[in-house]
This record gives sequence, structure tokens and C-alpha cells, in this order.
Amino acid sequence: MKDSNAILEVSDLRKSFGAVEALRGANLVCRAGEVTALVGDNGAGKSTLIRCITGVHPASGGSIRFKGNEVAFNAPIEARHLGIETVYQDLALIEDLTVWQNMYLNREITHGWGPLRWLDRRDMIAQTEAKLGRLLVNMPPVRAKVRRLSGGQRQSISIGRAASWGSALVIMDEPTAALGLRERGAVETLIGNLRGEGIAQLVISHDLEQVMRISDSVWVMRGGQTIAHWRTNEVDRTQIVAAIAGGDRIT
Amino acid sequence: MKQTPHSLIYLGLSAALVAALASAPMAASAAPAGTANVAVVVRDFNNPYWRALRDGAADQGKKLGIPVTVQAGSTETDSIGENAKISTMANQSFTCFGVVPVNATNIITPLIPVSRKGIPIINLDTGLDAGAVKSAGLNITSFIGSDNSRAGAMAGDYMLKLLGGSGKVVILLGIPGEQNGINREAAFRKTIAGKLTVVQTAVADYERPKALTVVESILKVHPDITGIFAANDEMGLGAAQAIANAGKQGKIKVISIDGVTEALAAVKSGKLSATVSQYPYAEGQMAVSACHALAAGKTIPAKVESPIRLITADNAAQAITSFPRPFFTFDNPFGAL
Amino acid sequence: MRPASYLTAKLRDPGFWGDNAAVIGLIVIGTVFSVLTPTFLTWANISDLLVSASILLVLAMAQQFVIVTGGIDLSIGSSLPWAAVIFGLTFNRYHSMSLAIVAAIVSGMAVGLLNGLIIAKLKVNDFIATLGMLGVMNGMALIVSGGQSFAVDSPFLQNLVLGSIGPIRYFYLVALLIAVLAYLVFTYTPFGTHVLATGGNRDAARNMGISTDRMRILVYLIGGGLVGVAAVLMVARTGGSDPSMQTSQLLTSIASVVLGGSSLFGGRAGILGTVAGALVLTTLLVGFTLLQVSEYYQPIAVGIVVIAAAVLSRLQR
Repeated sequence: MKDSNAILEVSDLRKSFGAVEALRGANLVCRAGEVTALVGDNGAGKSTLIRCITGVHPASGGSIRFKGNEVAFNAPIEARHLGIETVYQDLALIEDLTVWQNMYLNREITHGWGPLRWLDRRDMIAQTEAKLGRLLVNMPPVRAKVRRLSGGQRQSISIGRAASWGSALVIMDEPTAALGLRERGAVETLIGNLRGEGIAQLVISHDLEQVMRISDSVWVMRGGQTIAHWRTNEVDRTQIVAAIAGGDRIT
Repeated sequence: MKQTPHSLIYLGLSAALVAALASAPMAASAAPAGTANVAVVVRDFNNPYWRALRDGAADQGKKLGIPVTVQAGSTETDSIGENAKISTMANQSFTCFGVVPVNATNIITPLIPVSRKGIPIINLDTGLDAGAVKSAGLNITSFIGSDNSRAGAMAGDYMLKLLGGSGKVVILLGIPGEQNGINREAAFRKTIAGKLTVVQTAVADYERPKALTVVESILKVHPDITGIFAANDEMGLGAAQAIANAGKQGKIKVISIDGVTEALAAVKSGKLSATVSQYPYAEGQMAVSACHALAAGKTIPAKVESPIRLITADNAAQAITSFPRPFFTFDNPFGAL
Repeated sequence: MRPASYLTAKLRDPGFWGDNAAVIGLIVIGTVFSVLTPTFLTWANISDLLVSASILLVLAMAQQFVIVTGGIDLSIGSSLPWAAVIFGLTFNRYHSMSLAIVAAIVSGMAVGLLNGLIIAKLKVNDFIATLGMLGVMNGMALIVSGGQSFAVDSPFLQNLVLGSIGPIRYFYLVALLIAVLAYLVFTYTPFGTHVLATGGNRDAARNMGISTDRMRILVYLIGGGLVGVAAVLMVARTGGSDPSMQTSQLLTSIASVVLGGSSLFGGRAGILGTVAGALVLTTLLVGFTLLQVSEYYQPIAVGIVVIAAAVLSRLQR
């Protein structure tokens, strides 16, 4: 069954580190304009799956299709070129740099030619204001150093950055785990906004209430395998919990 | 941050102010018109040798009633620090400069503005490169220092005497390239040539701990040496210590050059065989006397030799009592000091 | 906001004091000395002060680049005399000032490259690696110079030290130009941003695709080149090349950067602060010389100032 809306299709993915089988048949489908939740206990293989998708590790078996085409990444930069962006748990933000500097880190807009380039600060500042302004509810001043921002603001900027550069798929690992109630709300609103932009989002979350709130589909992993997946509106919490903890494979 | 930052700022500022005011003299000394206002710059104040020069200059200043200011860099090799001192003092109202260079050239450029103002400059202790002085157009009025070649020869003669004319020796060198050390070594070698064998030459930068370490190693490789010549006392004392540690005191003779108090005491006790005493104190005295003479319109010789003396167990006690002054009279163009 | 109320608001903000501790310190100390001796605030003295600070300033810039990435360079204590020896030998042999200057810079960069490779590729701790190179380059300088200091006679160099454009002496003009260049690099080039990122959060920088190894090697390379420039200044000022180690310059270069507010852990580059730091340390020496303060009090006062500036910089935003 060919899914024309699917940005990412992972089929029967396997990954071994020497004798250790971290993935023993993982499946996943992420659609444009939808939030896909990936859940599972510690050690279920979620992080390994993400690393294979983003090109940190090459898979040992199975297939990854991106926009219908088979892909095999050898380095994260290749995934990035196709428009897959990751928001890391440590956010990959540089505290002593400003919001706009972080936004454009390693992608700076410059004047000049060859080795003699200098930064087009004004353009970067304006564009950051535009891009983040559209997405974020509570936008911090773009010239502020990241050090002075709250956890929620940092998370939002990190996601906003990934979304601006990641035109196709944004992957988030526990985006609100360390945040208070209000800030969590702001981030979830941002995730909702990104949906509207047509971006596919893949969210790892242990917060099942959040999963029920924000996702369109939920995939459960256990023991390196994908053991269940549902459309979120067709399942309830107890079923998900049961799948995470144990029980038969459900398709 | 919840502490009161204002008080912190005030505290910091007042502490800095107090420190500055406490360490400043109430008024900079000024010379009565027509007399000298002497500036002396040496390498550092860690080395007792330069401290003696400073004291000689200061004492002579008090005796003659003229102000003398002595400054220094921070280490034996701090050419940049010494230059900074000279540059700064060049802007003050000194009428005469006495300077000990770190190496053959370092003070030449900062002294050019001094020379251009017609202020007399006296080169102390270590000679400047004559060629460099000439091409810089620097006017050096006089050189006051001891004849290091003669000192090296005296050490050589006494070593020959102590060793009975033959044996294996080791030479400890100071800072590479420093002219006085070069002269001492060359003269020593010349004096002992053909009679004593130099089995090793080692650099210890004029420092005692380095000399100790170096000699410890040398004793393992050459256990049969009978003499060590060190280009200065600090190294000589380090060598003597290493020899004592190895239980060979008395079996290996150590001769060094400088004549600092600790070395004189070591000669008296027998730990050090001899030292060729220099009198930086006298150098300092003569520098100030020279400036005084120049201010009075007299001329002074282009080269003034500062006294040296071989100190052995015989005259060590005398040397110690008179220290830092020479215990003998010596010729000098400035009369009784 | 009206200018007056803006100023008082700034003065009330402890963050302002913390961020500008070195500059404030420089103004305070300069004022104190001006009050205590009339010679201090003369143009001749200020000019000589800047000349005396120039070599330190260039070394502090070299150290700044390295410290921003969270590294440190202990080898400049002997790579400085090493470059000075290469400079002097090249000039005395070939009588070409431009060739000699290039040789000085290249010899400094060679040390920097070695440092960078050992630290970034062989993963040796920067403190240890540069400490080792301190010893190696000391030996190299002695070997190449035959253990001798030697004169370097050049009217160009003499003019460099004593000459000026109008009231501005060439000597410190070189140093100030380098400081300005460093500022421009950090503020207006992508390289500058990447270096700051590498120092601020190396893993994050790497995740964003910055080659942090390359950044760390490049800053040592640049620092080494600047040491070469400092060597030219030193040979000019001292009239010759001396292979002896310069430890006081090494320690003061680090003190200048730290005094200026750059964290030793990297990620911040306060060029103005570092310049102020270097000037503070030089001003203290000059002021004490003018006041004929006893040598024994000088290190105490320097120590107090360094600690005071460190305390103030804790108020940094």
C-alpha cells in the first residue's frame, strides 16, 4: 500500500552492534502535516531507531524510504540535506550566543566572496524575527543571549530552528520532559503550529497524556521491535500502556 | 544573584584605593638644583648580587646627599620588563642612568630617548654590544664592572693549585649567551688548558636548584672528577650541596664567582673551596659617585674596573665581616668612597 | 530614556560593572595614579605605557583565540623567543625584513599547528600538551641559536619602536590594529561565530555540523602567528634575539585575558576587556615605577587587582 502522504517509511529495520541486536524489526510511518508519537520503555530501541533515521548509524537490515525513495545515510549531514532535522535533548544551543546566532549556526548569511566573508547580521536578525515570530507564541527578543532564556523558550527556539531548516521532518526527543506546565503548553502550541505548516513531526514522549493530546498516530516499541501502532483517535491510554509493558503483538 | 552587589563594588574599589595609597610614598623625592638625580636599573631583586648593587648605590646616595632610585625587572631574563622600567623612568626627572642589561642589546633602544636628551648613561656590570650601541647612535658615558676574564683566570689558577696541576673537572655555565659568563668560562679554559681535562660542560642558568640536579646526574656519569668550576655562586652552592649529598665533600673542589654572603660562609666552612668575589656593592657606589662627578662638570674615564678578590678559607672571615664592602682598598677614580 | 537616567540606570546595574570590570578597573587605577603623581597623565608617559604594553597585548590576543575555544597555550613562553631567534637569524643572513617577518610568523604558526594537532587529533589535554611544547621550544630556540643571544641591527626595527605617525607610535599601532582585527573576526565572521560555539558547547557545535577539531587547530595556528608578530616587536624593542624563556610574559598574557572577562572555560570573547586587562597590568607596573613603590609591594598590589577584577566579573550578566 503506497502512502502518498508519507514522508518517512521505515520497514523491518534491523541494527546490530556486534552481538547486540538493538533493532529487530522496527516499523514507522510519518506523514506530512501530522505528529507521529514514538513510545516505549527504556531500552526499547527508540533512540537507536532515531539514530538510524538521522544517519548517525547505518542500519544493518530493512529499509528506510524518504518521500517514496529508498535512502541509506552515511552521515547526519546527508539526512539534513534532505530536510530531516533533529532537536536533541541537550538542545544543541550555544548559551553565550544570541537567538539569531544560534538560529543561523553554521548556516550564516554572509556578504563577500571566497575566504573573505563577513556576516550579514541585519538580515539574519530580521529573518529570525520573521521565522520564529510566525511559529512561536511567546517569542524572546532575538538579540538576547540564550543563557538568559527560560527552559521553555530554549526548547521553543530549538524546535523553531529545526522546523525552519527542516522542511520535511522534525524529530524531537522528549521535548517537554524538563518543563513546567505553562511552558509545556507553549511548546505544544508550537508543535500544533508546525502541523499547520505541513511539516511532519516525530515525537518521542513518555508522557502518554501528551501523546493523546498532540499526536495523530502512535507507534509502540518493545525489545527492538515495533509491536503496535494506531491512529491516536482510535486508541486509549490503557491499550498503549499494555503494549509498552507487555502482551501480544498487535497489528 | 541575591547578595548586595553595590556593597561589593564599593568594597572592591576602596580596597584597591587603600592598597594604592598605602604603598605610595608621600612625595616623590626631588633633587635640589645642580645635583644629580640618579636612576639605576638592574635585572631583578631576587639575585643577592643585584641587591648588593642596589644597596651600594643607595648607601652612596645617602652619603653624598643625592636621590638615588633603583628599579628592576622580575627575573634574570626579563628583558621586556627591564625595558619597560627604563622607558617609564626616562620620562621622569633623572639626570643620570646606571643600567645593567639582561643581554648584550636589550636596553639599547629604550635608552635612545635618554641619550638624545643628553643624559649620561653608565653601563654597569655586563657589557653592551659595542657595534649595536654605535649603530643605534647611543652615547654610553662609561662602563663600570669587573673584569670577568680576570676573574675566570683567577679561578683557573686556584683550581690548578688545589688539584696539583692535573685532574678532571666540570664547568657549570650560566644563562647561554650572557657575556660575563662567556668571558669567565673562556678565561678559565685558557688558564687550565693542557693541564686539567674538562669532561663535561653543563648549563644551569645561574640557578641553584638547576645546578644541584645537573651535578647529581654528572656525578653518576663521571664519579672521578676532582673539581667543578661554576660561573656564579648560586650554581656553585648547588654543586657543593650535590657533592655533600653524595658524601664527596672535600674530594671534589668547587670554585665559583660572585662572592655573595652565603658563598663566603660556605668557603669559611669548607663546603665551597673558593669564590672569586666581585663587589657589586662597590659597582653601585661608583655608579652614584660617577653621576655625582658628572653633575659637578667633571669627566670620568670610559672604563672603570670594579675590584675582585679570590676568597679562600684564609680570608673568608675578613670578607664576611666587611660584606658587602671590600675588605681591602682598591683603586678607583672617585677617591675615597 | 533620557541620557542621564540611562547612565544612572546602567551604573546601578551590577551586570554593567561585571561585564566591564577591566575597563572600569583601568579608569580607576589610571585616575588614582594621575592623582598621586603629575608625571602619569603626560602624553610622553601614556605613549611609553602603550609601547610597553604592546608586546603583551599581542600575546594576550594570541591567548584570547585559544582560550575562547576552552583551551590554553602555555607554550608561548618559549615559542616567543623561538620565533624571535628565527626572525633574527633570517634577517641577519638574508638582510630582507619582509622575509624575516614572514619567517617569524611562520615559525610561530608551526608551533601553533603542532599544538593544535596534538590537542585535537591526539586528544592530549591542552594544559599538558602546551606545557610539553614549552619545554620543547625552549630547547629548540637554544639549539638553533647556539645558546647565544645575538644583536639584530635594523633601522626599520628602530623606526618601528621610536617612530610615529603624528602622535601615534607605530609600535602600539601594530598591537591595536591586531586587537581591532581580532574584534572584527569574532563579531563579523562566520569563523568567529564557529570558534565561539566550539568553546561554548563543543558537542552542540559538532551536532550543528561545525568541525570542532578544525576550529581548535585553527585557533592555535592563529595564536602561533600572533606570537610571531609579538616576536618581531620584541626583537625591535630589545635590539636582538634572546633564546631565554619569557615566563612573566606567559603568565601576564593569561592574566590579561582572564582579567578582561573571558571565561577560562571558553565561549566568550571580550576583546575590549582583554585590551583593558593588558593595559591594567602594564599601568600598575608603570605607576609603581613612577611612584617608586617598593618592589615588595608591587606583586601584592597586582594580585589584589587581579582578585578584585575576578570578583567584579562574577557580577557579569
